[in-house]
Amino acid sequence: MHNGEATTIPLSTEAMRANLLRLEREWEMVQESRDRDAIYGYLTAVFELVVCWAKEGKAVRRACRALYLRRHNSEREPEPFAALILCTADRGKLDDRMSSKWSRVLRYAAEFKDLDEPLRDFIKRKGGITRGRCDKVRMMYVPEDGVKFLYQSKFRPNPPNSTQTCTEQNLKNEAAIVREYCEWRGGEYLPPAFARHVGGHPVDDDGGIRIKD
Amino acid sequence: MDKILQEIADEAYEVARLRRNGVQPTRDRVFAEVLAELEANGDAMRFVNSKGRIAWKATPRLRDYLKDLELEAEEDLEDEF
Repeated sequence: MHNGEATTIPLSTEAMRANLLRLEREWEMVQESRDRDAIYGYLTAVFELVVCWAKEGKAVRRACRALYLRRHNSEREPEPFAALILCTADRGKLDDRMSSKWSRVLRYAAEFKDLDEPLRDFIKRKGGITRGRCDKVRMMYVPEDGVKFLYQSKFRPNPPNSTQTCTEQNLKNEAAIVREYCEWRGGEYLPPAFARHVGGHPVDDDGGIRIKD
Repeated sequence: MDKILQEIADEAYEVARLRRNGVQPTRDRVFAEVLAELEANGDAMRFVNSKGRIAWKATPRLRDYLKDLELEAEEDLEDEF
């Protein structure tokens, strides 16, 4: 406790409300500001809160509580970053596409960012919110120690109802990103869509490859 | 815990210790109660520090409030002279 450990302090409903209010205030400040970087203040606040909840092992449960407090229905398990953005940003000024883009960037930062690097610096270093690397990797954890992941890309070979152009270069670029991710995680798995671009590895049963097998 | 919260928690502990109602609260317990109360009031927030541990800091709201108080006090002091 003296060293700042706080896992024994529960998060009361009032505390949850106070946290949501704080994020809403950050959002309002973004709206009032003309600084193009103002959004990073809001994203940092969301990021810090979810990372802290995750550290306590309660990110999803608390995201559910936040949704409940703000009277949002959640039929499936919520993604904590997206849930907090939904709860605290004005829906009239934020569309679903931007919301999911931000939550994707924050998930990426939660995976790759060093603890002492400011979120803004990290995102900028990766090329920004909308065009950067953060936005390219879409992750969703599945069992198996939480390491294997499904990959959904806007440049998938046969994207249903997609207007995105799927070029060979796009796939190669994304394959490099996914491979970097796989190697960083200890070299677990590369989905079939990218297997043909990286070569030199044994192909798995489903067409994907395991980088370090 | 940052400096602002440390001061508030220390003060709360001293108050609890001097209450003399026969119960000697532990420091950790008083700190936990104070932090929970501050968080519920929107004055404290938990975060993951650079060592990957959960720590506490004052919220921007509390910082702004204290800063305003400080500026007011400085202005009052200037008016005195």
